[in-house]
Amino acid sequence: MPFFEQHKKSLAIPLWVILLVDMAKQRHIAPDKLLKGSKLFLSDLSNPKLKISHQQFSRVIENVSKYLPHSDSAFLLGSRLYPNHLESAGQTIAHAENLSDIIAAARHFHYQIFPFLFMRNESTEQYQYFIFNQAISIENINHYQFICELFSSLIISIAKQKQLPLSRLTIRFPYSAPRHIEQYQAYLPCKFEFSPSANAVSTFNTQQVYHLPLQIKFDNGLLMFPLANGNADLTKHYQQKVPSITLKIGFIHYVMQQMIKRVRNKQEINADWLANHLSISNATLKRKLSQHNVTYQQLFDMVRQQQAVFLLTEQNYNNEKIAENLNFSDITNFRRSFKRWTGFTPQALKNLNQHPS
Amino acid sequence: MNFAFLPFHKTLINSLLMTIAIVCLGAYSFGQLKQTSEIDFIDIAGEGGITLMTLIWIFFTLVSRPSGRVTNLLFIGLLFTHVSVLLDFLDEFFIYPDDHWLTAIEALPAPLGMVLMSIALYQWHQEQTAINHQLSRTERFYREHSLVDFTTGLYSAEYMKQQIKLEINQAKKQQTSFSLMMFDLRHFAQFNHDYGYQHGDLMLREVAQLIQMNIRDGDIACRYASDRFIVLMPNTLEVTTKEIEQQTKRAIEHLAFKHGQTSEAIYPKVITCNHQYRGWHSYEEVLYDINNHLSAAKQLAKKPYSA
Repeated sequence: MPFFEQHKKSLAIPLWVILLVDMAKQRHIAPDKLLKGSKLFLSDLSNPKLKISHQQFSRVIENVSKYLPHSDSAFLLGSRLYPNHLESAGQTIAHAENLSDIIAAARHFHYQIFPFLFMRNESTEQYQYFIFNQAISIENINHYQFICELFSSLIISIAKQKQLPLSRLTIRFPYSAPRHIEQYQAYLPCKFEFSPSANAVSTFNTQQVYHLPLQIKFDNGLLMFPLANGNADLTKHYQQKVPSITLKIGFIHYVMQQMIKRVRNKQEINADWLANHLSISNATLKRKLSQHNVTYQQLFDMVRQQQAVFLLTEQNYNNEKIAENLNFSDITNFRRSFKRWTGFTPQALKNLNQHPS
Repeated sequence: MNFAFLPFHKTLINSLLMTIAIVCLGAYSFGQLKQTSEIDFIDIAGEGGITLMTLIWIFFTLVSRPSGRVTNLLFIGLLFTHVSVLLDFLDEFFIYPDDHWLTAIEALPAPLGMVLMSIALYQWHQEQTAINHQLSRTERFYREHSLVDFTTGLYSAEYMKQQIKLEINQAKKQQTSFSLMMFDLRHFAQFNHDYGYQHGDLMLREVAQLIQMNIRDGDIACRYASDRFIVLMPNTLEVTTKEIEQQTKRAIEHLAFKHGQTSEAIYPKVITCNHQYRGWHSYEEVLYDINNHLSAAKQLAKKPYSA
């Protein structure tokens, strides 16, 4: 199989857990509380070869929000990861000459730097969009929010150290503005916005799957902006230190990638095809998906919805063009599906995104 | 008496009125009015008094507490008790058919309400201890209370939001204004990186104490988030705010922070900003605005030689 599942011990992130345990200690909370139920032990953490599963890490995050109810935990962890705790990936990025280099490194070291989200790139004449979705398993909104906060805080610490002009960066979070907005204001000195439609979606859609992506947007000019501490030779040196084995990717990442590819190539895709492609039975596929908290239809809707919203709001495509892009036979069908995915008609969502109340 | 909290309890007050109306209507529709001769006026005076008392308790709870979980719980507990007492009171006026369910469940809400109230009182106790603690500025011990920041012992952003809400409400009624100032430590991430997070926390704590020492009684200082602090100054002119801002800034930048046993000192640098607010509508807007002021101040500090 070209992917790994949420119960497989394939994440080399003991350092992340150690940093969280450190934070707990700093706040006088017993470290074993954080590890409760995760089948991890403090003594395991010192083993540098330790690999943990997504399931285990999810449990730790759940404990963090329970026992460390400070809204800054994710932000703190993000700001402490870089550069030392990202190891060779961190070193490569630390010497990158421009954003293009960093993105290349991010692709190369993806599952070392941040295994929880996978990245997709879109661009228009003016802007670059990096779109992130959950890579391993579809988790609930609390978990997803933690991951988004952690990730944005990591990205911003990198950008700060590389002296990237942060005002040219916009992060769009896949949920509506949270209560602890102060953490965003203090930790993220870039532009950031929330998804005003997120609430409507979750009440409208009875299947509670969180389906909006995290999006980072910047102008094309930023790609080649010279960064601080750039050194091509050092970047190469650190890049070569990593054996180039092809790593397995997260299960959800794999399935969504297949869907995106098939939709783009105007090829038919359905559960049968996917099961066939993976040489497993339909029932096994269904079971695997449900272990990752999602159904085939939900994932497929998610892929098409994200694509539709992007084409609508960022590319300014009209309904016909979007329907054609997503292989809908006619516009009425597309509009009906769009309403089902988002709770809004295409025009209403466009208005909402342009004038968030 | 100060009624500033009442406007936040509109939902609770409405639900109180609704409940009373429903109970009275229920009694009226299920029961029959008694003859005047059957009414016992001593009972009415006694039970009516208790009914009135529970209403007074609800009133005092609502005027003295900001909206929130503990308040809601207290309110629901009192409301249940009130319903029981009210039904008892209405008994004096109405006769119900034999074995009507209304008489059977009449006593139920009161014990339930009392249990809820006990839980609420316990939580109130915890909240109050955390606040007392903050007021006494002693050793930081409470870590779980959302109104006090564990690291610095200052109030939390959550508390600041509540206070700004109150100020905005006050400002609407009495045409007053308030000022905010914000402090942001420069290069704090680098400091953490160089000296470790324990020293980072220590630095935050010392800066917090300096801010606390340099503001006046009645000003409220809180740790906003990370290395950002915010001070609320009710009824303060811009000149005064500026003066206190400069004094505090000077105090912080003269702190010779020591890490470990050496005499080597690190002098923290801060970016500050302030603004006077009058006629604003929501705390979100106000906080958004003061953060923008800070970003602008940061931009200015980055290019000190530009014209």
